Amino acid sequence: MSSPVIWIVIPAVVGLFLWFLRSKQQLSLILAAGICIILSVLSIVLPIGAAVNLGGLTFTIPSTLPVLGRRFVLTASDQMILTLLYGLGAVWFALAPLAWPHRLFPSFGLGMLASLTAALAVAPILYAALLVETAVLFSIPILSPPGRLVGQGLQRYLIFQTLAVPAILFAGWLLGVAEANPADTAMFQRAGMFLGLGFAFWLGVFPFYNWVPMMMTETHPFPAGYVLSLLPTAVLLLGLDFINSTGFLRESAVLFDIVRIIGILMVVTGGLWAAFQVNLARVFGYAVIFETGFALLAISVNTLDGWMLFAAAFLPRLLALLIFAFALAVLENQGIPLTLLGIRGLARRFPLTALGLLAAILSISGFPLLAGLPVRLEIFEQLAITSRTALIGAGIGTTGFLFCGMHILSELIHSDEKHWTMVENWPLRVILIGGCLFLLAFGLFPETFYHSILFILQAFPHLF
Amino acid sequence: MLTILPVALLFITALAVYFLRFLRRGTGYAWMAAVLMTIITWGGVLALNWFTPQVFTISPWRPFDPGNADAIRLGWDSISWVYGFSLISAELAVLLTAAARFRRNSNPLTWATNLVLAGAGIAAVMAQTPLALLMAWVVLDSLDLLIVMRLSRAWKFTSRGVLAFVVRSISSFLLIGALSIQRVEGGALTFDSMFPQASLLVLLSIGLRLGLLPLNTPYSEEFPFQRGLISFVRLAAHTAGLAALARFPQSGVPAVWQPFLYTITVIICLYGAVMWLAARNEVQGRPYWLLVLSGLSFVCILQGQPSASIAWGLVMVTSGMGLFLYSARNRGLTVLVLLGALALSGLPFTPAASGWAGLVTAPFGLGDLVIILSMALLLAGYVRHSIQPADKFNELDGWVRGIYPIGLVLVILSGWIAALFGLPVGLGTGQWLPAVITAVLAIGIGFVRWRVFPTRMASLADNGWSGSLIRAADRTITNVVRLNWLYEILWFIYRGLRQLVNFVTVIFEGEGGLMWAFVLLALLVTLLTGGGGF
Repeated sequence: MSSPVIWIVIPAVVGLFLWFLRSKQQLSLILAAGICIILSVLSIVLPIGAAVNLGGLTFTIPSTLPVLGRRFVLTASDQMILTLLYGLGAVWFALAPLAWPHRLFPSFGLGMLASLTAALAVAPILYAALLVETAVLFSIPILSPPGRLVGQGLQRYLIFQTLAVPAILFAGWLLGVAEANPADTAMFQRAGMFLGLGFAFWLGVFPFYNWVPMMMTETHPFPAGYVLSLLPTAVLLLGLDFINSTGFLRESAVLFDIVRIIGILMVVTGGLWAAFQVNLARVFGYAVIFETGFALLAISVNTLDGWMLFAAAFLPRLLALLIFAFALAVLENQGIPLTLLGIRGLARRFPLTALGLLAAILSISGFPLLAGLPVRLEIFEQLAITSRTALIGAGIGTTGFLFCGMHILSELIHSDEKHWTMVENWPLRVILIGGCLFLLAFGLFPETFYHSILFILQAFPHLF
Repeated sequence: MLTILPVALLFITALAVYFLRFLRRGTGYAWMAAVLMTIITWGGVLALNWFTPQVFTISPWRPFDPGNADAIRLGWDSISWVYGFSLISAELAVLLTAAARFRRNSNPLTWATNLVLAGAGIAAVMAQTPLALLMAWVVLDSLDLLIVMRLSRAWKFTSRGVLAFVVRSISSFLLIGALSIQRVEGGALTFDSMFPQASLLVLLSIGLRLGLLPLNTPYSEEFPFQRGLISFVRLAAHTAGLAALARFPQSGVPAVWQPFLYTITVIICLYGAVMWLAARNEVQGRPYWLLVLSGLSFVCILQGQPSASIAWGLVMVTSGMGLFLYSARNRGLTVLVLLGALALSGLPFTPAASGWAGLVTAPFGLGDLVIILSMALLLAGYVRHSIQPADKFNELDGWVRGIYPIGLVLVILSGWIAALFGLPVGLGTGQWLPAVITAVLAIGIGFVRWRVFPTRMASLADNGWSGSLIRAADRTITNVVRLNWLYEILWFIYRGLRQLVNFVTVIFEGEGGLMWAFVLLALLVTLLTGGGGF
């Protein structure tokens, strides 16, 4: 059994199986979380490509699965990426019974995970476009379950994600032509342009991100949070894979300048737009844009330091988005409008939800003691060395997001009520407190968590 | 580990006090445990003056370059000892006098909170690096906000807490800005080495936190309850800023900014001193007490005398806490409390004597004279608030009457002990001339108050020509020093930006949004390919 079979075929088959089990929502969610945990643990303990001795039985897990002339390759250096993706899936599926126990979530969610893993594994790499599109299509029933009206945001999501496919495929074709005639640098530039355009559509970078906040208001925050956590993570890793495997991209100074400009625009607009928001679901959308902007800024540094920061930022980002989406889901499930007016004085009745919401938003804005700061501070310091303009831009965006956080804080505790009550049930309390403690632990002892996540970079040896 | 033992002890005691209250007679046990453990900690901190343990370090954050990371270090040195000792003394005084405030909701929960605050406050003054300071600041800010949220029953008060939290968060982010800007020079930001732009940001960050730059007193309308807890949290927050100020490099203030900052700070000191004198009582005047003494410390930094600033910070905590805890009064106790006024005066052989070296230099200029006047007003206000009628001491229970004065004496005397053992010149003569002028001026102000204006001082601000004068001065200072004009501009920008954001959102999310996105992309590509460099 090869590694692609374990981490791509098995979850895809389990996803299909869970579709048949969709009437038993809780069971299928537990099974989905279980399989993700197992795959995540296996990615830590199973050595791909090396001999495994199991009670006298010795076998090797091959890293390649050929399919119709193409190959899916998951080597030992990809194991930390697998841990991250399936760990992410495990946490979201495990929390879903409390936040959004929808019958389609386990099967299609697992399908998304399998497709994105396949996209990261496929060779030649340009076929990733089709697999990402598959993942996007899997996400549609999650974002807009049957019976729910499809809004403009979701339509745009589908349009932009689909537009990425021809752009990436065309870039792949141009790259093939360019490699046949390396002297033709113009061809490389065109290939780079289409590649950039494709990634711009996928990641929802400026100016193609307006679907993100729009979509957030049209869907339940929990599945939207899942999609917006998973998709950018996989696409960013895919982007790194492209840079790693394409020599001219690695050596192109212009590429990193453009990435920096786009990153700044995303941080500034994401932060400023969040500052003037009155809808919390839209704030979540801007948080995703803001975080993607910072990821691009880390990439733009183009040194080992920058790559390490890029990798280190995954955990605090994903954790903060998870808690943010979970807190929004709790409020949505209680029928509380996700607006500033709707949450006024809510801290007196939902103190832990309010705390989780606030901790997540402040962590995203890089507030001290929380998970976001350690990486954010290092990115600021790297920008101070490489580009002061970028540092100022990052400062403006951060100020905007912080303003948003303070505004939400003020509304949450705006009350003349005399007494405090705690409406949340015990499981919610445990999860919200646990999430906040994790954010705090990340903020205080980041190095404990970073050492493992940095192994993600093993998959991209040509970057540094 | 010995370094953070006092902090750990306070946190553990807080936990114990919290749980002890659930026992039968839990309040008594809780109080006993709190007092005993705080006495032990007080003794331990006192001993640390002669025995300095190793610096406590938290692992650095930089995975790629740990050697060059922003360090997180806590340790005991001459600065942290003075402030740490004053804070633990103030904490002990709060607990010893707690029984006198039983009717005002003094209970094990507030004592536990107080102990946590004391631990966090001591950790903040122990911060040896800006990053450690940042973290300690945020802990204190968050505790402050939580306390306000817990105690307040009205948004009127809670909103003050939110405002204070916002202001202090901006201060924290200014420090983050300083940490980042310092990297232009290559190294990490420390209190010993600061790039000029970084040092300005650090100064602004501390100034903002202390309510000085720009003038901000979020708690100008003070809580009418929890005299011990609220006084302690306010003092701890300011002490955390002052300890950082004392570590500021001697020539750290950019020369271009020095005259401007000096002028602003001196005006604020005068303003704060007038407000303190005219305040209804010491609790309502507390924000101005903190403002003036923080301002005086700040002036010391601007004059390149960081060590002199410690003296003013010390009397801010010890003399201040002595007065704020003085809720049950009689004539004999007033004499004890007036020892705090003596400590504040800066007369030779008093704790603040060494502080004058950082404030004025002979021959006196206009700024020096304003500072002397401010000090005189502060001193007169201290005496005035000490002798005002309040609760009756004789109405307290017998055992409380025995313990309560010990608390007051302890905190005020701690100021003298800390000065004797902790300040560079101890209880020296200092600059006697400005101190004597201040004392004489304060007596003069007192004379005017009793002879010329026999009515209540607080009514000065309400009636007649004096009221008009004070109101006009308040308006002028509010407009200039509080930077109201700047806020107006910022508000204008905010509204404009909000309209722009809403307009752009409507365009991009409207029917033609897709086309607009592509137009913008084309524009961006044109700009980038047309040599629009970055």
